Amino acid sequence: MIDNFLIVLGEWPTIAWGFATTVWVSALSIALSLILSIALFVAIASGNRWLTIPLRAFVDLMRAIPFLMLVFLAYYCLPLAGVRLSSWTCGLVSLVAYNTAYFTEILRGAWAHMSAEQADAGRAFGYAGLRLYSRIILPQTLIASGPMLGNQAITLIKNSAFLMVITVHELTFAVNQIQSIYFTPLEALLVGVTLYWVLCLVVEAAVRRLDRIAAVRGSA
Amino acid sequence: MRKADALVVGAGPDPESVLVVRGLTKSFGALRVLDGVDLDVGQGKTLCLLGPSGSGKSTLLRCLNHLERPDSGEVLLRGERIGSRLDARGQPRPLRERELARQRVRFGMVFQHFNLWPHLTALGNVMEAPVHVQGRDRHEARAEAVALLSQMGLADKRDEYPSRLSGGQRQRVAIARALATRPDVLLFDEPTSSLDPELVGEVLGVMRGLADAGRTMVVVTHEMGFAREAADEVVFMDAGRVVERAAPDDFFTRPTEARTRQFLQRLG
Repeated sequence: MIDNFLIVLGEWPTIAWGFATTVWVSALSIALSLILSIALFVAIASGNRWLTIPLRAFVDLMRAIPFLMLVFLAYYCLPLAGVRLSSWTCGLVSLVAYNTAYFTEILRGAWAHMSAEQADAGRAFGYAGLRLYSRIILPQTLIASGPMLGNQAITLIKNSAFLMVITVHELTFAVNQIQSIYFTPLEALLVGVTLYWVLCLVVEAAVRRLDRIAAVRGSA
Repeated sequence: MRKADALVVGAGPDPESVLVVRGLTKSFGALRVLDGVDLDVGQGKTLCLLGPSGSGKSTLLRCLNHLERPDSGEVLLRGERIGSRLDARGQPRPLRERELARQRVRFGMVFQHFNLWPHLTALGNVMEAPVHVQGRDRHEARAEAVALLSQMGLADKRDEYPSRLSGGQRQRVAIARALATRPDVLLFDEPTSSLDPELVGEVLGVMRGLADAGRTMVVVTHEMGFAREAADEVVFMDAGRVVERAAPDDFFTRPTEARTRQFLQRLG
C-alpha cells in the first residue's frame, strides 16, 4: 500500500495540475457567478416584468436540472447552435450558469426575509434607483447571505468534479487517470478525496467567519 | 383655541407654515385610508397625530414624504410642492422617483421599528445620507454625527452595530440619523410602540428636548402624556378624516366631538 501511495505521489505534477485546475475553475466560477447573481438579483428585485419573468425562468430551470445534464448539454449541444467552446471554457460556463441561479436564489431569499421597511428607510433618506441597491439593499443582503453563499461555493467545488466527463483536466480527472494507468484506485482516490477535503475546509473556515459577521451585521 | 380655529378645513395656507397639506386622499384597493386631510404645521411647532389603529395616521405620515404616493391632494414643504410638479395647464404631474428622492431628504423620518441599516455602525447610520445623498464633506459630516450621537447620550455607542444596541438606543440612533440631514420637518411614526415599557421614557425624553428646542415635528403616537406635554397642537383622526384639532389642553379636557370623547374615555 505504501508502495502504491509512492507510485501515486510520484505522479505529483499531474495531481498538482489537476488540483490547480480545480481551484482555478472553482474560484473563477464563484467570482463570476457572484457578480452575475448580484446583477440578476437587482434586476429581479426591481420588479420590471420584462426582466423578471425570463430571469426567474432561467433561475428555476437551472435549479431543476442535474448539473451533469447541463454539462452534457453545453458540451454536445452548444456546437449544434454554432457555439464552439474548449472543454475548459464549456465547464466554466456550465459552472457559472448553474451557480449563478443558486446564488441569485440565495440573495433573493435573504432579501425577502428582511423587512421591506429597510428599503423604506433608504427611500426616506433620499436613496433611489441603483444607489438604493448599492448603498442600502445589497450590503446587508450580501452580509446576511454570506454563510449560505459560502456553503453553495462548497457545492460548486464538488460539482466541478463532473467536468472530467468533458475532459477538463481537473483533480478528479487526474486521479482517475493515475489509477487507470497503475491500477491503484484506493490510493489515487484517497489522494484526490484528501485534496478536495482540504480545499473545502479552507472554504468552510471562511464560511464560519462570514457567519460571525452576519450575526452582528446581517440584521438589526 | 384661536389658533386651532384658524386651521379649519378650507382655510388658506398660513404663510408661517413649514408644512401645508390640502385635501390628501389615499385608497388601498377599495379601502379609503385618507379621505381629504388638511394640515398646517408652523415653524418650530410639534403636532401630534392621535387616533385609533387604522384611522390613517401612519399612512398620512408616509404620504407627507411620499413614501406612499397619495391619490390626490397636495403637500407643500416651505411652499415647494412635494411629489409632483404643475404642468402648463396647472395639472399636477408626478415626479420621478429620483427627483422625489431629493425632496424626501428634507423630511427626517423616524420609524416604529427603527429601521437602522444593520450593516453600518451607529455612526455609519448617522453619516450615511449626509455623505452619500447630500454629498457633504466626510469629515464635517462625521463631526456632526458624533455631536448628534453625544446629544442623544450615545457617545460611547457610536462604533456599535445596531444588533448590539437596546431598542431605546436604536431609536435614539434613528433620531440622530433623522437630524443629520438637517431636515425642515421631523416625522415620527409611532416611535415608542415597539419598545419595552422601561425604554419608552428615554426616547420620549429626547423627543421632548427636540420639541423644546424648536424643531418642527409631526408625531404619530399613542403616548397621551407626551402629546399633552410636548405638542403645540393635537390632531385626532378617525376613518381617514381629521375629526378634531385643538391645543392639547383643550383636546384632553374639553373635547368637542363625540368621537374624540369616546376615544379618550376608552383610554381611561
